[in-house]
Amino acid sequence: MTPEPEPGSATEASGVSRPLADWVRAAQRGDPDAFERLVRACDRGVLRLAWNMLRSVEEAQEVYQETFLRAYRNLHSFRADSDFQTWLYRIASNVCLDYLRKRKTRREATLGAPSDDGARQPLDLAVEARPEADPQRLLLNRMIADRIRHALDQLTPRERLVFELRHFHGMRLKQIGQIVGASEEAAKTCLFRATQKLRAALADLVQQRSPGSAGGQHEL
Amino acid sequence: MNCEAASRLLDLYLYGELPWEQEQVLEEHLANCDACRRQLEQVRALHDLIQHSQPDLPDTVLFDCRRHLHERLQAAAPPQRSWWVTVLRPAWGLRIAAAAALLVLGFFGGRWTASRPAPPIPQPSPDTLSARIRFIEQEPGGLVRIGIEERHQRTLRGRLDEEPIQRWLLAAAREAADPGLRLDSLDLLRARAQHEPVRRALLDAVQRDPNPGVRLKALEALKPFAAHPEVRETLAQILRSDENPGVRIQAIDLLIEQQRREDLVGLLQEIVQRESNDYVRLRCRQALQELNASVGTF
Repeated sequence: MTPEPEPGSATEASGVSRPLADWVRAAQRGDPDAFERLVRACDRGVLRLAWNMLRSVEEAQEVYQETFLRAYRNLHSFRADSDFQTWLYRIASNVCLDYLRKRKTRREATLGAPSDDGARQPLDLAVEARPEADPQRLLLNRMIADRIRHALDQLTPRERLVFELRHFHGMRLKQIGQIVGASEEAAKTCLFRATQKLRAALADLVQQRSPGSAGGQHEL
Repeated sequence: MNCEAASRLLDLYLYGELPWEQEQVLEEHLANCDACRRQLEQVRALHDLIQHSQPDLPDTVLFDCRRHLHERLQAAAPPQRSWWVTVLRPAWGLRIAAAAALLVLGFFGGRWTASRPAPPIPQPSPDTLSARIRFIEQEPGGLVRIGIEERHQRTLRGRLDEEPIQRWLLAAAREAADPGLRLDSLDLLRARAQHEPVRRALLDAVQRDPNPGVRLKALEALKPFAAHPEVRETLAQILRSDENPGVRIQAIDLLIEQQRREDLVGLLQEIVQRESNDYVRLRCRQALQELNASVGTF
């Protein structure tokens, strides 16, 4: 059984991975199988981006559908010599930001009503109900995860996006700049602001955990 | 560089996003400043903590998304062609001329070959709407060869205990490229796990399927047979060698359910010694306690 190809697994010097570029050309010629291969090569990352940004399974699934349908409809405008993954993530990022904006508008419209922030998704419970779960450790992990989630929620949508792409998707700032439509320097500034905010919000977590936190330390 | 300036660069340094000169200056500072080195370790720890704090979605969500997208793509109109594909295609006049030439060739060729017996040509049917023409070639004697790739989809319906249905499900469990299909097949087959071919397929999936979600599903299906010697042997094997801690823990759970200590204690003690994952080691220790056995070997 052949494992699914990972995006960029056969990246050439040009930055365009060979199978992706071939499939893009075939899909542009109208080959539906080629487009579905492209989907499978990139969709895990797109779904993860949506899930991490929105923390809602339902919305992550909607972002997934919207991203790939937009890509399918606009495939003709994609230049075959550019990077498909960057193009796709640009679409996915825009869809995620749209959802965050809509969510903000809805929240403002229902200001005063009980917020669903922090409501635990059934999935959270499912993930935690894994066989390796140890109650004490689970509780601690859950508290830490909630703190981190809260700190991430304090970032602006753009900071959140840039941090997400760099930290969880391992993308270089140059590519992130192309995705968010900014210069590499602007992406770097955005990442800097995000990390400073996270350090300020979560400093006590690592100081508690760090064995040498007794003295002679700088504040995070 | 002072400590404050160094502190501001630590995240970008860990991401490898500092310009070379700045990185050099920072590294010189770190080499001479214990406090900044400790701070670097804290920032690294924070990065790790954040990295591991975000649970991944189960694969089943991804498979649902794929299935739904596939249906929507089937229903959607084909994508607009790229401008460069359009430009590279022959002009309409040329295409009409070529089609006329083929017709003429076909007409005279047909007259010439009319007396020769020829295999019947399938008539275009609704199926050919989905056909894709792969090549068109002229042959001597005015013949034309058209290569058509057709996709036929068939639907089979039957009860789970019917042999052809089971055979298809077994094939899907072993060979389907989509892990979601393998998962669905195993889910259905588990009701027939008392039959040898099904149990064999489950054992194969546990040992060989590249997707941990599928391996877990197969393990779950093998639960009622955990006392079976071959199943126990397989469980011990995956406990030693499976790369996924969740799968290894599931294997421990199935093994200790049988309460047969004689061959289990030694295995668990061995795993405690060699296991690198904290959770798996902890589960082994707990299992040994449940079996009233010591953690170490003497």
